[in-house]
Amino acid sequence: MVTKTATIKRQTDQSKLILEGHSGNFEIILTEDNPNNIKSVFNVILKDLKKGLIQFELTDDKEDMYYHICSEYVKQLNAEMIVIYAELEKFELVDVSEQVENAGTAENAE
Amino acid sequence: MKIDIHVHTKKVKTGDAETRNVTPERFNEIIRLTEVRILAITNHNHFDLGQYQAITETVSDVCQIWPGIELDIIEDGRRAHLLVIANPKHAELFSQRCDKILETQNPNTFAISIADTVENFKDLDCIYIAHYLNKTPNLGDKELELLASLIPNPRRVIKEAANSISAGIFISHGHNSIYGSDIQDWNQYEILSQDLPELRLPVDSFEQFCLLLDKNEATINTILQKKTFDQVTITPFGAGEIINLDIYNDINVFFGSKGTGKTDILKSLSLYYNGKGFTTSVYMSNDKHVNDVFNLRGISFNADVSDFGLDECTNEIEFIKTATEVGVTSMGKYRQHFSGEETNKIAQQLKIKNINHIDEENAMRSLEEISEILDEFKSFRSFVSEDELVTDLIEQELLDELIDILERILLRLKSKIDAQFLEANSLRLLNQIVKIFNQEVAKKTGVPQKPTSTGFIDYARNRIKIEQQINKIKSIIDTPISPIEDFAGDLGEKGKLYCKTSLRIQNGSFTDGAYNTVKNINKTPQKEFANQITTISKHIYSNELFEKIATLKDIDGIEHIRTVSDLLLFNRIFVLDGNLYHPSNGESSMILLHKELMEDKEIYLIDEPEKSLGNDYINDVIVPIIKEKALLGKKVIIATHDANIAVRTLPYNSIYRLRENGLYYTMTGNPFFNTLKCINNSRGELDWKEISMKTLEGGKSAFGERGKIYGN
Repeated sequence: MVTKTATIKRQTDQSKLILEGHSGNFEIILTEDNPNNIKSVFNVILKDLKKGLIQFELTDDKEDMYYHICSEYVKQLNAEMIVIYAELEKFELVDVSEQVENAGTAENAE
Repeated sequence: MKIDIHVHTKKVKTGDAETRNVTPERFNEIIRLTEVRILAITNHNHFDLGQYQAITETVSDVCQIWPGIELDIIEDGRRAHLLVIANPKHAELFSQRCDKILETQNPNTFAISIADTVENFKDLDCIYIAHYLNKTPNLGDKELELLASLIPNPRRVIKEAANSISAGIFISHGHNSIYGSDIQDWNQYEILSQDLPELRLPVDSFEQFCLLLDKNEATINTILQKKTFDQVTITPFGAGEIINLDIYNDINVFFGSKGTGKTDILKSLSLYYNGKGFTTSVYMSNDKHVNDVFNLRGISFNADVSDFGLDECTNEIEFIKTATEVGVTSMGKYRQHFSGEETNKIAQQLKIKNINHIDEENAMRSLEEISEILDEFKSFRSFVSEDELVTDLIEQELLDELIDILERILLRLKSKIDAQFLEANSLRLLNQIVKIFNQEVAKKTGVPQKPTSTGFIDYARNRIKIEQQINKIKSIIDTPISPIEDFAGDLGEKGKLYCKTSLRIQNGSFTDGAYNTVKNINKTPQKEFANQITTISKHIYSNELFEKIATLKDIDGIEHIRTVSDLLLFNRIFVLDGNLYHPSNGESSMILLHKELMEDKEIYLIDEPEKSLGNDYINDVIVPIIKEKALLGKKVIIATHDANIAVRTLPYNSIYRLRENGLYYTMTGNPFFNTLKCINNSRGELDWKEISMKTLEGGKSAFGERGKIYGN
């Protein structure tokens, strides 16, 4: 399992939840209802999950509404990713070679 | 049944190979691997009674051994070899006579005159087989005449040529001829024996063989009667001409001039046998072309990928065609919830509303899996205790032990199911409770309820399932199918012809125009479908996935693609040595006749098989098959003008249709009697050989000029 960071980017026009991925960050816009934006993020998460289980850790120092939204969202997403990762493993859709590399990286990081 | 009248069992002369030596045990071992059932031991200027008796005793249950000797003959200063084979009844006397002439003489230098030879063996019921023409050192015609004049029955003189085309003793072409192995190396005997003469009539004894040499009618009849035959009455030309025929479980040949009604008789025989419950039809040469018989155009051809062990992917294709996107939880729902301040004190204390949705599907799936395993064990438990064959085959004690173990497993599984049922339903209940509490709290407080899931699970599951289905379809589409090769026929020296049906599943890139669709579907939707499956596979984790699926659904004719079999294409051709081949009309006849004869039938009715066929093909391919059918006891009934078939197969039954002075006669006979008799006794006998020579195409050469018989 690899832990990735989740941060909140607050802007006047648009606030975002920034999630760290294997090959770059991706953003969920908190101030808009945009299913396609969420689906795009889910697609990236799914692809990343195929390389190994990941969990997000929210790092933020403000206790405002965005913090509560993101805290809840990340908590739910983490639990759901565990369920899906187990299924990917069960259906042999996990990329074993990638997974080994990541495991190595994670261990080294620890 | 094969015969070998020239066998060496010992190295006698200096020039003899060591490999001619054979022990009775080894002899026994080798002979049992062959079809040779009569052998004459003919060592050079030597007869070993002890060895002869030992060999005879060892193989008495499989073959006859006749005593003989290969003598060096000297006549007019010319040396030659002559085999003298005696009646086995006189083996001991034969041994004494051999000893008498050989006495202290050196076998390397020994030689004897024809007259002395005949004098020495005259009361031993002998056969004399002389080396002739290219079988050297040979006797000349003059010496053979002398030999024939000295013995009471000149038919007992037979010629042995090295590569005589005469197989068996009865197709003698006016010359009694035969050949033996003259074996040099016993290790090669099994292979060499395959080319030895075949005796058309089964010979039980030396005496019977001699009677057949004499064409003894009683003997021939006795042997013919051993063969089963049907007495058939037919009226192919109306009630005015009743034809009674004996149809043997062997080769029956109809011959006669054109227009004498041979084909009508065959058709009438077909009707007769069909009436008896057989399924017969008359094979007519040139009636059809091989392209039609092998359905080269593939009319009504059908195949399914499941025939080749591949999955039809019916459910997978249906799933993709009906796949829809799964929604996700919008961020607005989170904003709505967290923007409201929950002032209700009771609501604040309700911790249950903070519990997130827990996935139930895994627990439900596990419950289903355990249930399936339980059902399998239950069914096996029933099988073990209820199947009568099982209880008959396996001891009760062992069965009880198995049942006991099965009962324990069943108990364990039931307990697992109880636990899993509890877990799955607890989860469901919990999720329901949380949902209701959230709804109620939201109603009471006016604060929208908190989403219990981001929607990632359902979204991901949908994509994963699409990926699985697409991967499966793609893997089947990309699977090559081995071509189906059916043996079409033997083209003689050219080789063997196969009808090759190649099958391809359209994978989007296959463009060979020679292929046709197997199912009733156009090529375009097949190709578009396959291409779109590939496109979808590249967009599983993209927002355009459902656009790609929509494109697939919009393909014109998509409704006809329900299984992978609907993507099948096929091409059927003839191949020779792996290359495309177009058989000529003559080759078409070859193949169809070969096919007809290779079918397993009781009765073969064949009209003019020689049409469009060369002599080599008839001799090398067709005649051996016909003989094989006869050996298997099948009825082979052939109308022919070809001497290779009518003569060289030595038919048990020759039926000759004669037109004479406006009248028709049906005459029957065979090569063994060499006569043809009218079935109604309304005219005199005819000479089988003469009529065959006169009537049949290639008749003279089939009976053979001297050169052709002996191959020089």
